[in-house]
Amino acid sequence: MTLLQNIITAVSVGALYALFALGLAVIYGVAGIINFAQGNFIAVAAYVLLALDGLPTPVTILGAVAAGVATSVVTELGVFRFARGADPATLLVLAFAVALAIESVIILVAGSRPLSTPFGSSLTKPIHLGSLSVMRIDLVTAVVVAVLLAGLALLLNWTPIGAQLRAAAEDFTMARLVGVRSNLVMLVAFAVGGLLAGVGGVLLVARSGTVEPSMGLEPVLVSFVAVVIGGLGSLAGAVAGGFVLGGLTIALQVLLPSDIRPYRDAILYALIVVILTFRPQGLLPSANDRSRV
Amino acid sequence: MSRLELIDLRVRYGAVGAVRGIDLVVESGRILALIGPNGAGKSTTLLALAGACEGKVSGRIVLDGKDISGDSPEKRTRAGIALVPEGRRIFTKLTVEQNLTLARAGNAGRAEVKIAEIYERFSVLGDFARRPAGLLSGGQQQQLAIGRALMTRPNLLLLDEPSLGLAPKVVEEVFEAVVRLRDEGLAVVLVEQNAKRAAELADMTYVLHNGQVDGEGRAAVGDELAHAFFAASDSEGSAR
Repeated sequence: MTLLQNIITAVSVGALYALFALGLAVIYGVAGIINFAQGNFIAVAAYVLLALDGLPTPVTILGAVAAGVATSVVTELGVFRFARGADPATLLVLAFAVALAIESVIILVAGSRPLSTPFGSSLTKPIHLGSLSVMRIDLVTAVVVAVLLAGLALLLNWTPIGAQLRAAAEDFTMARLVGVRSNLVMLVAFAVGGLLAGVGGVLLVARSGTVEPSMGLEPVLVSFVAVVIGGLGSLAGAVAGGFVLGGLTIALQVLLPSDIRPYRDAILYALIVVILTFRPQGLLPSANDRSRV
Repeated sequence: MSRLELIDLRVRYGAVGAVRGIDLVVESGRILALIGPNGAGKSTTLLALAGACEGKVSGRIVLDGKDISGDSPEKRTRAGIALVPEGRRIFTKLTVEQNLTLARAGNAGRAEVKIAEIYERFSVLGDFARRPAGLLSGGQQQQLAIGRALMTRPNLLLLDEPSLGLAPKVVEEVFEAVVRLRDEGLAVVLVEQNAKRAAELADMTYVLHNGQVDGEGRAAVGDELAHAFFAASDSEGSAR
């Protein structure tokens, strides 16, 4: 039973990583931007959740997710659109600049100190299923991410805009050459990235009960590792990378002797170095990574 | 009736001039072949026409009297220019059918092309409609790349090395399809390493060398041009 309990935790943690990694991968795949500002979309969603405290829960959740989407879309319309075709290093620096700008605005408006919220406190209690004792937030995370991934799979595989996104992620210039509107797919990619960040932000707050300006930094760094493990630019790879990272994290947490456990992350990233040494292209690499016009 | 005019096209990659002042005209129902050695500027000219060139492009591109030089690739596609690029560049993870339906985005204002029309032209694509395009053979992928371009109902088809890497029998099938398209009224610009075959197919042949037009001629003359091109290449080779 302990094994099953650990598997549920691993799936939950992996699902959260997969969620963030997918957000990064969608934007990278289409726009060629390693968007470290994704972490700030998470923070914006979390602060809006806090600001809407007291309203009915569905309203606060919807408001927070909408804020994540809006922030992401505004950065595309207001910043990245003007840097279309720039080299990857420029885009990376731009993403850092956007991240710093959003964080500064958050600090200006809400201060730099961590704030606490009762949101989701009931979810941190365990639920007993026979002899299993599972945190409710783990189940909620797994279910929410499963629904989101299924919805995204439907969008990508069964809708015209989904096909355009996949084509653009595979070969952006060629997609434009068959008439796909670059501005539209960019906007949809950023909206999807913002949606995933927004939902991730809500889940993070429900898990920790605290909100702070830099709360998105660690998730975005971890999810970037997941994206690289999965294969930069590959959407399926990002999800796989997230689950592999989540699985390894919990496995090491459980299996390592208590005196070595503080070195868990060092061992985890050493394992990732080993994986990438033998498979530098990632687990499910993208078909190609052409330059953009 | 469609007409594309290229006036003093120049493309630079940094300090290097890849295309150095090309003028050409192609009209409906005509195949214009661009032949020449590697690095002559043939593919760059096609990419510049399609709006997908990464170099600095100058000169004028006029389609049916309208200057489209500053238009984005997708806008040029919607205006009726379709590129079948070197290496096919089909979307490998999408199915054959998705590759085709996707290209409807490039058909703005013209009569919609039904997928059945493409399957009629290239029957193998219909047989593998639900298969991921990356699993097709080279020849099938070339047919898909042409079919995808046709889904935009172009007035002008740009073909870059359509025979590259294909078996001789498949190459002939592809060329037959190109000739049929010309006979149906499409304007075609064909870039082809197989200079002799390209000159045979074309109504007009231009020989490019160092980014400039080195010679031009119509139909039968094109064949002579191809021979002249080969002779020049051979003598250059032996001189080295």
